[in-house]
Amino acid sequence: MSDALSGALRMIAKRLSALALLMLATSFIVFSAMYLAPGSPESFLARGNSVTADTLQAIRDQYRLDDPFFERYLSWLGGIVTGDFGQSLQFRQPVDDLIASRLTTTATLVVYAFALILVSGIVIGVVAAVKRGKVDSAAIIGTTVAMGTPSFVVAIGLTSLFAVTLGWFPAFGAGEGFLNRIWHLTLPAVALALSSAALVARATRSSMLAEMGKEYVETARVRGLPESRIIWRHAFRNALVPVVTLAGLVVSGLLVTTTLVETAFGLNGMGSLLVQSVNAKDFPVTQAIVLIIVGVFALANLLVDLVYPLVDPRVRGKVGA
Amino acid sequence: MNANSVPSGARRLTVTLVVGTLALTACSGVSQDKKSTDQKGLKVTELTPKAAGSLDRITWAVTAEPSSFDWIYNASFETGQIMANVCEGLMRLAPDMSVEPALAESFTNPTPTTWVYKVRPGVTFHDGTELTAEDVAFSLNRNLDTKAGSFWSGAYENVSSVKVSGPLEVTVALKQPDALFNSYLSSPAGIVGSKATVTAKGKAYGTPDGGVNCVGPFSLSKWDKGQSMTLKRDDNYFDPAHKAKSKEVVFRFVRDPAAMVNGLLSDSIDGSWFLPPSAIKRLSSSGKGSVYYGKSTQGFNAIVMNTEGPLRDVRIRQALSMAIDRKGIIDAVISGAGQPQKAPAVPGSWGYAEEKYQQAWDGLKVTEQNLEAAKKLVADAGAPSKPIVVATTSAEAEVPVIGAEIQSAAKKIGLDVQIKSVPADQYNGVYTDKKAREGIDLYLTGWGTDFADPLQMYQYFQTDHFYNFSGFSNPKYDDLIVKAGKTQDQAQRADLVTAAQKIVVDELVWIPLYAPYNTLFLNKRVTGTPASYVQLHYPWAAHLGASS
Amino acid sequence: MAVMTESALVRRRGLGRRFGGNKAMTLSIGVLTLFVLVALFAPWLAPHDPNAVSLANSLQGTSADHLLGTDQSGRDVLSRLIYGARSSLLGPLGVVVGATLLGVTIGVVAAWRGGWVDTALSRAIELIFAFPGVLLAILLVSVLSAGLKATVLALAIAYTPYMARMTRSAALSERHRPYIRALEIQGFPAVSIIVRHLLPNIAPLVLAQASLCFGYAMIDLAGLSFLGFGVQPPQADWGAMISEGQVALLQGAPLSALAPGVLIVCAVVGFSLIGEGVADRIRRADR
Repeated sequence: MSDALSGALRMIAKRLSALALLMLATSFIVFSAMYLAPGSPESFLARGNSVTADTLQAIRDQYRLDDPFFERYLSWLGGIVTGDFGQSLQFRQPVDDLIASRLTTTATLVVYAFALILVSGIVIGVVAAVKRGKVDSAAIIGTTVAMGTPSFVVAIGLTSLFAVTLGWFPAFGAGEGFLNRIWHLTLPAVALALSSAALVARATRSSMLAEMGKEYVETARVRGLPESRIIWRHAFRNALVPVVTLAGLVVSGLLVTTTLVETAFGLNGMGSLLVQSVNAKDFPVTQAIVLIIVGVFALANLLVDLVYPLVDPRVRGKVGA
Repeated sequence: MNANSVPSGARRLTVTLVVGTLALTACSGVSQDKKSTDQKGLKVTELTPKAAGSLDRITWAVTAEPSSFDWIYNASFETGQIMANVCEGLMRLAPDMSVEPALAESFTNPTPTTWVYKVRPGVTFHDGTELTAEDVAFSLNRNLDTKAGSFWSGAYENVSSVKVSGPLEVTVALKQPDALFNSYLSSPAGIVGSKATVTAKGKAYGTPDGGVNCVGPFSLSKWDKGQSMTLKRDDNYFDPAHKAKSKEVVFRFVRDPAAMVNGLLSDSIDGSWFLPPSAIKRLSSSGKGSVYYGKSTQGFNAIVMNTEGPLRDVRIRQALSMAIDRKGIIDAVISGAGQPQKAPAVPGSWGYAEEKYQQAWDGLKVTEQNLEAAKKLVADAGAPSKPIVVATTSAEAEVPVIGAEIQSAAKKIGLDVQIKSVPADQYNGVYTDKKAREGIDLYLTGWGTDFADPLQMYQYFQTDHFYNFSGFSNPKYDDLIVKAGKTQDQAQRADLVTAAQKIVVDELVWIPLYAPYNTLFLNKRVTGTPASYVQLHYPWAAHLGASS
Repeated sequence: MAVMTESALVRRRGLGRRFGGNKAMTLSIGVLTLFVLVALFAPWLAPHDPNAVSLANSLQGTSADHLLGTDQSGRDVLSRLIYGARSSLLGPLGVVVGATLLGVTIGVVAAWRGGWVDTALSRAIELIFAFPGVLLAILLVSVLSAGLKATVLALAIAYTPYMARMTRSAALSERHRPYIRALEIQGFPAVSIIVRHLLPNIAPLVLAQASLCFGYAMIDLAGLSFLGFGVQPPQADWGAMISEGQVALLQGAPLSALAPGVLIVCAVVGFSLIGEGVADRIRRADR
């Protein structure tokens, strides 16, 4: 085994332990926040029915709401390690099941949006950089406005135009089966993707411009290589590096934005579950979702760092040597 | 105890409009066609046209997923609406708002503190096992088990025991006479489940994985978490009159009101009881189906939470009440689908002795807007030095609008109103948590009775009652209500209740705002459900079918 | 929701030059100045009381009396937009000021002291960085209850890493410049060098980043208001107005939701253009 490889492994191990530490710190912050939060979940659950003090106490006992802080934290943490996020207050189900049931919608939505972002962002960016002129100006104006438009505003606009007025897409629901799901999630995915796609387009564009101005591109041109080959095989390859970094950040940003998009489209995914749980003081669910989002965020960053050398020929050269 | 009326994030009060004067007309024999069409020309009906045939699948929308399908935790509109078709109890609430036996074949009241229920023979649960008296006693007793934490324990306040007293007979012993107990059994407090299943499933009972085992025209065939619940017709259901017309009803959880309206308009949802009030006009004129208005037991009130603060003087409360533009609220907030309200218990809740209640109602001071008189009252009483704090929540569409109207009405007569917007959980917390009430003078909410008896509503104003937030106390009032609670004779009870009603209205412990109708949308292809506010306590979906 | 990287500044070049350089920036400054003036002079400019409910005038269309019509409660949309400019601009301002003060302090201290201080601060920043702004705000809202204060506080914390990282790297390169060395050797106290020399030199960069953050903070705050966690009714706020306006959309009266949406987009685009413009100038000056 080469030194470089073991070095890379050591780096991964180091990063993973940092990740574990981050998650531990996060879990503590999240748990304390929920512990400090005022309000009594049992009042919410009773929905105003004339329950007796005994009934309320029974609910508190069922969910161990009166146990000391550290005892609760440790047992919660112990549960998480074994994959048990506890019991939802609002829905009398295990948090794991609850999140699992919402995961398909959210995961499909995020992956769909991510694909849209990468494809449209990169294509627009490259085209703008290569064509310049009017195309470029249009791309710049379009992306500037897109970046400044909140996702829920896009959501409202898309629904009233494509779902209600034109009737091309369903107005609500996540659909069943692959194709049907894709059809249902198209508008939400577009709303989710728009501003990030614009960001990626911008990043791709400036990165491409920078590469196209470099010496090796000139050299290639002089050597008479076809322009398309220069653009895609050389400039694009190198221009992709900062885009990959950005893409990692975009994924975790998407997960948070699902709170807005799912709410606006009335989708029952993880994002809207988070909003619902905060409103219902359903602590175990809130904690779990926040932890998951932070985890995905950290993991995405780690992946970016790992993928980086694979994309960047210069770094790859160093590691592989 | 009225699950139905307390608004929460998921439950939209305005949406629970109700009723049918036709029903009242029918039972009282009073000729009152005037009520079936109100001033605005809205037609108030008890039933929608009968279904002509069966449908394979009907899609219905509710605004949230039930948190549990165990009946003792059935405290929300969405849960109630679905469960009413799956789990029946000893009694049910008929579309004319009368309480009728369901799983009970008959009942007697041999002594004021004893109720004996004969269980219907030959009835089977969804799994095919036979319903026994054991199941009934077990089910009712779950509400007495404090560890279980039933949300309907309040209905059992006066119950000392529930016992099997014969092969198909259950006897309920009361600590003191309770005129409402039998009616409560038409609510989830009276639902019967299979003892064997409940015991075997334990904590999983009523969850998506555990399921339920009840008696009802439909069984729960699929619970797709976060998305929908599917009910399937039970072909062995005992009651031919309520046997399900259609094969399958799918309840989809559509949280966003705009998404729901879009679904209704695009034919992907057949109907819903949760119509966003602001969309009623658009739905009625869409040509996709019809909006029906039924009678309701629900009303919308501004509840005085504190009689020591700026609202201490009854004249200030009266002035505020007179300044409010009720008609404006009804038009703007619920698209005209309601009527001004004069007292906490609305006309839809008059399930008996209707003439007596009507007469008393007519005698109540009209709550028409009168700014001059209101100004004069404020001048006489002197404007309070502190602002009147009105709690609102953005979790319910109509509450902030009404809050803003009250604020602007108060300003016109020289009263200072401050809006305090609180999150949904704290807004609901008011009912059970004293702390959540602190600093709030007025609380806006829809509230009504579970069944058609105004007494249920007026019990809330008794000294130290669970729902007596302001600490209102009047010995004469208490006396009337206690007497009414023990009076089985309906005319006599109505006399006692209306006398009590007058005291509460004169004191304005609650400022009544409006009585919404029960609104319902049906796509043109479906019909058959009642329009009255019985969707929580009657197997309404059984009657849904093809319109042609 | 806002995805920002410290290199965002570097990446988003181009627009300034392309559109006749300063034109876009001048236009942005003009529009934003207008917004600020409107916010400041709201009581004089608004034709109606923004909270005056008139249920009889619910959802009126455009008229001479109500230029942009009325909302569901019959309140004048234009007046609410004018008053709404206040919280809609003050909120992001609070976020940016908070994040800048905190971020610049952390960045400068980390760069100046180096060593374990730098390591500790960088770790802390990384931890905060792991919480996306909206998520942190949602978390804080469940502790402090919904409102502008909680969301602004949360976003200020969440945006700190962006300011801190940028400041740290700028301060770091500045720190090793000869003139700072010279001042140190002459015995000037660190605080005075930082305040008099270092900060003024990195200020334009900070300003550019803060301007970008402003736009993102506005989007995030509007989103939180949309979810019901931010500004609470009946207070006028652009984000909250969109949320309230959804109801009106159902009734076919899109103006009360559309108008605030357009204003948010204008403001955000304006701030991004200014941020980019400033960054662009710095780059050219560096060249």
